[in-house]
Amino acid sequence: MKPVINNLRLVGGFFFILSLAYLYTAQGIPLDYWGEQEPFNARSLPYLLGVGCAIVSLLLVVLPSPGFDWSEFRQLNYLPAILLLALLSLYGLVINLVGFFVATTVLLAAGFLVLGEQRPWRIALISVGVSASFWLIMDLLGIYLSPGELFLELFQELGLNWAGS
Amino acid sequence: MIDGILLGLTTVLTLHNLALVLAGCAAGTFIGMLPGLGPISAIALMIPVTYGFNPASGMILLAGVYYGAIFGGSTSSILINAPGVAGTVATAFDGYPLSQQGKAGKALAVAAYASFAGGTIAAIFLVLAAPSLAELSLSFQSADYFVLMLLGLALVAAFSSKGDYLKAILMTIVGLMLSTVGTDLSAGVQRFTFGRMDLIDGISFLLLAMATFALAEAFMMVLKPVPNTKTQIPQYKDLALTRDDVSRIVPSVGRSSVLGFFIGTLPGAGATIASFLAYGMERNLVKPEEQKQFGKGSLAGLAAPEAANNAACTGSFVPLLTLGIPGSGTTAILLGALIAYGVQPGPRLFIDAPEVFWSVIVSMYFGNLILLILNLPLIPQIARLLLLPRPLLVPLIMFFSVMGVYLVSFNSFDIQLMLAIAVAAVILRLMTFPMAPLLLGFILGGMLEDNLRRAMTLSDGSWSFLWDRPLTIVLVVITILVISSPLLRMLVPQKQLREPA
Repeated sequence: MKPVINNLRLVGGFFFILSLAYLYTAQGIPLDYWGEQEPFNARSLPYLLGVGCAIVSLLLVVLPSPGFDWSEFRQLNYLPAILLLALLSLYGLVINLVGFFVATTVLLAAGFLVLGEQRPWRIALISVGVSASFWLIMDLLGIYLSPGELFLELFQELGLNWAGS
Repeated sequence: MIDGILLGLTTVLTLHNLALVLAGCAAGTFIGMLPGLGPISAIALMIPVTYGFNPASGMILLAGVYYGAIFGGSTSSILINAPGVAGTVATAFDGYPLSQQGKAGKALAVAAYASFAGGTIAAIFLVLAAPSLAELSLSFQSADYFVLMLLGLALVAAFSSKGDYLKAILMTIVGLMLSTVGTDLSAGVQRFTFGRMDLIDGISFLLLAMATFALAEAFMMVLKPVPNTKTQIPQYKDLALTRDDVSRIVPSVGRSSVLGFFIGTLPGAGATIASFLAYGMERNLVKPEEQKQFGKGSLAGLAAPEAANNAACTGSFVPLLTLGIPGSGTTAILLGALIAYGVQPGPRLFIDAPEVFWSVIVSMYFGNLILLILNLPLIPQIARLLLLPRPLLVPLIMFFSVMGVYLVSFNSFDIQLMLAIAVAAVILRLMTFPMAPLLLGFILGGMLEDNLRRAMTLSDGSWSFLWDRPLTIVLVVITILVISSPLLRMLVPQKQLREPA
């Protein structure tokens, strides 16, 4: 019988390779002279875990297991999920540059749009409202959220003093 | 003990802390109601809020969130047959038929009273059991802790559903592996940081919890949208129970609460298992005429899982508070929060930080009370939030998850790391791999290594510490049995198939 590629074998295979890479990296953990003499050092647990992971993932690959219905993967809504992922990643990249308020408002508005919200007043109201009130609450709690390097520079150029900083 | 309860009462009965119980219950109820978001996500989302509080207040809020989330899960089980939480799946068996028969008010009331009774009975058990257990566990040494943690991790895998055993074990080990990233505290050397400054402190538990639960669950909501069947929330007014109703549910509530508490104390078995077992037990124990009603709207069938899941939540605090070992994903994240507050959990908790120990226990009771007297009448209003459109809800959940992590470190690398882990978690979830064992392994990783190192160093690098003391031997034998029995079960039936007798 031809072995089927099911979820267990795929994930098991992935983690088997990962455990080998983990073990290889564990060998490179720096140890001083004393560390090498100790019965239990910084490499000990990683070795045990790497071997354990390799054994369990290998068992997942070799033990007989039922087939897996891959058709579900064809019915998933990939596009909005990928767009949201990209938005969040971009958010992380620009939040220090453009600041909390602008980044959050754009993130939320774009997120609502991606998921099919169409009423512009609703998008604008909620995204601006949430960012502003969140900023206000943080300010009250004494947590400083930067307006962003870009704007701080702009304020400086204009000779304005940013009260919050 | 009386001193302890009084200490707990004086801590909880301040306006500030009572407000926190209230806020926690309300936030938990709302998040728990949303199908897909469970108590782990609810607690993870609320942890950043608690960073400014003292440990006792923080835990009070989070315990409220925990109860609220379970309660909210039952509400959506009963009203729209969409359990928000795995622990309330059994609630829908009889709760939804009742609500279809126009008895939604009665069903919600039964659920609330049964939860309250379950929580109350379990809280009494907890008060009686926890201090003596904590005293007993003071005699535990590093070797015992190490084996106990292994046992806890193994039990989580052993209690997972059939066929999921190896998956759960693998996820536990992966969680442990993730915990080794960062600086090794004993030697001060970096491990698996690949030279990145951002990884020197390791991966934060909040980041991992948000990525594998809150954020991953939000992505799952996008990937697998619930078919838009115009959710109708049934109308109801009457929350009253007749004397006959009460007499029908009382025995079931009593039995299920005790069962739930004991199941909850076992590491690995939690509210979900307790609620199913209680439902099954009651179906066999009730009178034949009630038995016929099971699955069609039996009040006893609704009360049993509700009492059991709440009692199990309380029970799951026993290993957490006495041993510092969480028995479930939810208590694991509470443990992570305790560590983040700078409280060292374990048997010394009730000696070193009695106000935390007792105020959590007392606040649980207040949490139950608040759910009963405040949430029940407010349910129709809270349930309206279920109608909040997804396009608005999902980006908000994502924003709060990301902000919760970013506000701790102000490091945008954390956002990218979180997204990468969330993507991996979504793929693993789609491949039916469980995430709770990963979180549990990650949170126990540091303590496991500390105790193993201490035990190994004391025994000069020999594994003999595993059989030096009777207590350790007993724990080792139980652990081996727990790890090997599912493996044997996996191999034996195949042999029987091959050699038909």
